[in-house]
Amino acid sequence: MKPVDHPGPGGEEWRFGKVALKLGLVSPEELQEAVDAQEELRAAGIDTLIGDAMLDLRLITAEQCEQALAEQDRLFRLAGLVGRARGAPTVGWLVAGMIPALCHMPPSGVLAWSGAILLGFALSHGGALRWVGLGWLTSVVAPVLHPAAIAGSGSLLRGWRTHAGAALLGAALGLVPLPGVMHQAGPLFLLAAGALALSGRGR
Amino acid sequence: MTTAGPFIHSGQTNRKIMVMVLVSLSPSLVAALVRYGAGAGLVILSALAGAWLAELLLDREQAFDCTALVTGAIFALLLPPTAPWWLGLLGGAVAIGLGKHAFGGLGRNLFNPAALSRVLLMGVLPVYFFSTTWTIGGLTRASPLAKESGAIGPTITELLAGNTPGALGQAAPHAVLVGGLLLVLLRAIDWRIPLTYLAAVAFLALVLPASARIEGHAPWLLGNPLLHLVGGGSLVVAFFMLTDPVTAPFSPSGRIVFAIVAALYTMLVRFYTPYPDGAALAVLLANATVPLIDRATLARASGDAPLGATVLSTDSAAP
Amino acid sequence: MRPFDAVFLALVASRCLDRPKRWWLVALAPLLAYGIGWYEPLGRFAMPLAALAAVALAPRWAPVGLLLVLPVYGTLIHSLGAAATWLGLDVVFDALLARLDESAITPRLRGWPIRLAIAGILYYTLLPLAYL
Repeated sequence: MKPVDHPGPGGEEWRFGKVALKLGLVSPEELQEAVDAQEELRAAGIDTLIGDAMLDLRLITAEQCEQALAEQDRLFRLAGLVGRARGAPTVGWLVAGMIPALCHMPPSGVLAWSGAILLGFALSHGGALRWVGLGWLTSVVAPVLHPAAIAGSGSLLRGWRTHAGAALLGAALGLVPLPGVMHQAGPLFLLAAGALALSGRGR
Repeated sequence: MTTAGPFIHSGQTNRKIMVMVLVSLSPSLVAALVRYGAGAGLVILSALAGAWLAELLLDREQAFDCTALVTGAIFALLLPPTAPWWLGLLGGAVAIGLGKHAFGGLGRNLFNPAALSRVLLMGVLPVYFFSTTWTIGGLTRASPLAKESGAIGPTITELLAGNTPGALGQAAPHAVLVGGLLLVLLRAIDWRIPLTYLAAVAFLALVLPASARIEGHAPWLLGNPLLHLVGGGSLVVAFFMLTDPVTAPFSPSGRIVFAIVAALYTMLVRFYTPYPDGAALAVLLANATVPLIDRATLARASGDAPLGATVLSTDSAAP
Repeated sequence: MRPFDAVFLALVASRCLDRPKRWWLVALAPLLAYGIGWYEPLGRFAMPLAALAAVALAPRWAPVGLLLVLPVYGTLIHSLGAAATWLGLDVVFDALLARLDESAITPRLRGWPIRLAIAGILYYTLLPLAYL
């Protein structure tokens, strides 16, 4: 599936009013009428949803409301399926950088992994198969390494920034003694979520 | 825009519902105070304070509608009486901050905030939740659901009197039951959820085969429905957590499926993993399946309760 | 790495990539890893072969398949469990994201932070399964 100009999180196309408009359930004038009614209610301190306003104004029926909700759900699902939302490269290198810590690699393994990830920048444009090859070669040099650790993390990376970021994070998490609980995916995800939120790079 | 789920207008304001829930929680809180003393009081107060302060910080307007206090009180019932005060404070704040406001605030949370906070803190700070032996009032005993050495089988009298180690919510099962039934009588919660959950837990306690974790360790866990109903967090979960209208399915049939999912995971954890109890975990898993359950059942449900008659949100986010 | 951790890592990695048409084939990766590892004559070639097989299952989701062959699966049940958990999680995660009201979420948490937080919550929720 190609990344389309999809209604990704933060976009507008998935909004109930836009969906109803797209499905032909309301006209632009009717949508504006509902928005105005919603604004009036909000001004009066009543937080009403646009779908509720349309129902109250009898612009749509219950069945049409359900139809729009189903379409909205489909659009959201599409956004989830398309996946390559903004911020994906950042998350890609965060995930790749977690692998040495999660695999309990010894220091030699972490260094070999980081080296391979950096070297991979020059070799990886051919995609996953090249990464598997690189993983094989590196695991010959450092037999403690699983080739899939390099291939899996490396094939998530695109561009020198993501390679450098993954190599640095992987070395940091792999070489710095961490509490036992930090060698699990769950706490690392929560930390990454916090870091992305604080940095504002999560979208 | 309606993505947080359709809502039926119940005719009851959010604040009124919250007060009802707080009243129904009070017997359990008082029982915990009586049973465990000032230590429990400190835990309860800190959880309430943590939740309320977080609410005040993140949404000043909602801080006075009692939702944060309900979340804090439920979270307190999930804490062991041996918990330090700061754990209550932190947990209450996490429940409101991460469990509620991170997802967009009242009515938009995907997971029960109290359960979410309990499970995350149990993951990050397991030492405060996984002690198999508890020293309360000078007496050291093991939790009745513990599967490690040191655990001993409780008697029925002990179970019903809440005279076994466990979370604050297990101090007096009859107090939880009274509060829960009050909510059912006041029609603040859907009776189907607690009834289905408790019935499924009892049924599974009778029919599930033993595992190596039980045999030779805690054989009393087998074929003992009463133990599984009152010896863990089942009652609190059944009446005060699974019934949260925001994180439960919309349709009656969906709610029955939801309660069965929760019961299955509760018992899976109790029977086949080293965890002493899976009730709070089961709440989160059941919450996670709600969008799927709704998707499967909503069309049927809309026949029962037409969306046209709806969709003015009550903003009810509790219990 | 435990199979349980690999499943979650693969889940998040899959959200960074376009979904292939036969995405569900990736669920076979744990079974392949177990099968290839179990066949002793392959010796030291077992791991590289498993990596190649994982890529062949769904080239566009190669990182996902590779992450799923990373752990050591002790028994067939473990590999089946990992495959089932991954498939189930994939569906549940999508459904949760669809229910999420992104417009109501504070801007800093929108997008990946809230997605990762949900993955973390699901991780702790299902953690007991790692001990089955």
